Amino acid sequence: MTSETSRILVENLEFRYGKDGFQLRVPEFRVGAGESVGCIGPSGSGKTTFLHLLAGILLPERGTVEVDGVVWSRVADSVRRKARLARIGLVFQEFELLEHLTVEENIRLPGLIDSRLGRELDRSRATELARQTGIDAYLRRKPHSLSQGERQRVAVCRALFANPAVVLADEPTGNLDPARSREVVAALQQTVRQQGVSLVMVTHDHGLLDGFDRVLDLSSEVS
Amino acid sequence: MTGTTRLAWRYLAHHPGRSATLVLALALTILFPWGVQLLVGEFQRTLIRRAEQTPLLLGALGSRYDLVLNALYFQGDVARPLSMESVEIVQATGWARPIPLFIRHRAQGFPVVGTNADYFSFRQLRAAQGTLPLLLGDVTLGANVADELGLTPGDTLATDVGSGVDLLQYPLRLSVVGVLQPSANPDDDAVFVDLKTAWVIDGIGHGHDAAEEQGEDQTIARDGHRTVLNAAVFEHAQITDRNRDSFHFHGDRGEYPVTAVLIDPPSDKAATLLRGRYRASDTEQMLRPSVAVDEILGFVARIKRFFDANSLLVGLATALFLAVAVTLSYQLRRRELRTLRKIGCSRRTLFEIFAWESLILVGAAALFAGIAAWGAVNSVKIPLS
Repeated sequence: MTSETSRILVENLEFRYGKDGFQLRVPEFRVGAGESVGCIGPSGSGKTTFLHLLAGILLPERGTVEVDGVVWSRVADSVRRKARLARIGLVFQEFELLEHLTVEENIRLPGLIDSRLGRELDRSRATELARQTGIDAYLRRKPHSLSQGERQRVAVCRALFANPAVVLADEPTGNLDPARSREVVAALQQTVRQQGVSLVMVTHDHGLLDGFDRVLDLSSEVS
Repeated sequence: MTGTTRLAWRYLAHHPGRSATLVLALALTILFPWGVQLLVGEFQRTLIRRAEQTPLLLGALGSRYDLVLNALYFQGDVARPLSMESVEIVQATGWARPIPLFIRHRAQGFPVVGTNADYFSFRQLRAAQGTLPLLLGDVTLGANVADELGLTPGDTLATDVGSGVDLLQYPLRLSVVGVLQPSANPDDDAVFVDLKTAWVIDGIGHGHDAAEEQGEDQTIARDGHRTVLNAAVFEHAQITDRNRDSFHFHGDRGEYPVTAVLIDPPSDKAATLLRGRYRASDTEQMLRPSVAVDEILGFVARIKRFFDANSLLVGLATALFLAVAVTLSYQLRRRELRTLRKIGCSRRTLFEIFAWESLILVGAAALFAGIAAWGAVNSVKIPLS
């Protein structure tokens, strides 16, 4: 897989929290278009940190992280922010939905905080995603009235709203029972596959990794 | 609605109690100085307009403020009245039209203005219903009085007991003969009678059955030409067509009281001549009401400056309070803001959201304060109008 065909390309990545904190080393990591990769590791292995490095929220001390042609360390913060908004969809561990917004507004959130995106992508995009994930009946409801599974689907729709190249999911099944977790991950993979989007999902649950194209074990990358 | 406006509005709408408290606190801070400003402005306009419509005023020597407030705004009393002789002296000069006023009594709480027909032409007052007070016992109501008391021509209006010199004076029932057109002046809040009626209310004139028809128990002395009645004689409590002729006055008409005389000179020269004539008087004063009102407004301006300083401090306290509220809100929303930042929200956009929230709160507070201030100006009675 070359740089041209990789949606995500990580080379010689090194990151350390403080002087005595843990150090994350990833010599090479690539994710192709439409590929799904699971990242596994115990608590404290740097899974969320790795995801933040991929998203450009954190910058590596050494090495490069390139997402959809943009090398994070070579561009200004504002460019990283705009690229993150337009090219990366984030699904958080506790979904981080805004309780004061309706489901539809939560899905459209990237468009609400960026006027250019808001102009390009209208409500119909949110409705379409909601229909695909089976939550179109809840568009006018507030998140607190939804089940965990429904909230997760809202978070996935929000991540996909801006037609991103990559979706980064941070333990999106952390609060669910095993059966429900498998169901949710399957739904996430299916939706992402339908959209032709690359997926990187971190989890500590090995049982969820069956459907992924590849798996990266971060416990071996941390010193 | 832009995205940031929607986000701001949604957050405020999601916390109605918190938002309403902030709006109320801000509204009160805005309302207080704004309300004072509007009320003081209206108060000043009312005072100045009335004063400028009155070229000269004659009264007994004493407080010029009391004289102006009584004669122009029907407020308070003058310490000493003039006599009708003073009116006749001005009349005799031929330099101006004197319009006597006798304002000492009240009816249902409203000032009773005793005057003559010239007052109505001078103030350009016309009857909207009925007539002006033509006969003894007639009363014409100011527009607000009629409205407030629900009276129309044909009704009666009793004067207040003990509002005059004689505290034992019984109320006189006046016949309502007309209602004035609204004038947006203190005339709207007064009732008007002929001077003679005002004197009857004051106890200078009275009406009773003929002395010859009184019983012995009400007669002190009787000879061929003269009958002297005692205090037990029955006096009429209302002037009617039947008993109007029985009303009479004792004493010299030239000594009957007037509280002030409006002077309507035809020219500046006449006004100057008249003012010169009274400059050296040690019993009377002739003044330009606009000058006295300017002095009164000087006091008001000083009081207003105190309110302004107070409002500034209250505004400062509220700004600090708002800053604390925003800071606390920021702390409470750290997780939400962190999420927005992670998704790709710029600091500028976050600032925009907070700015819109503040703007919506301040806008709502200003609207609320504006409506309340408008309501206050239209419902709170300015003391001198």
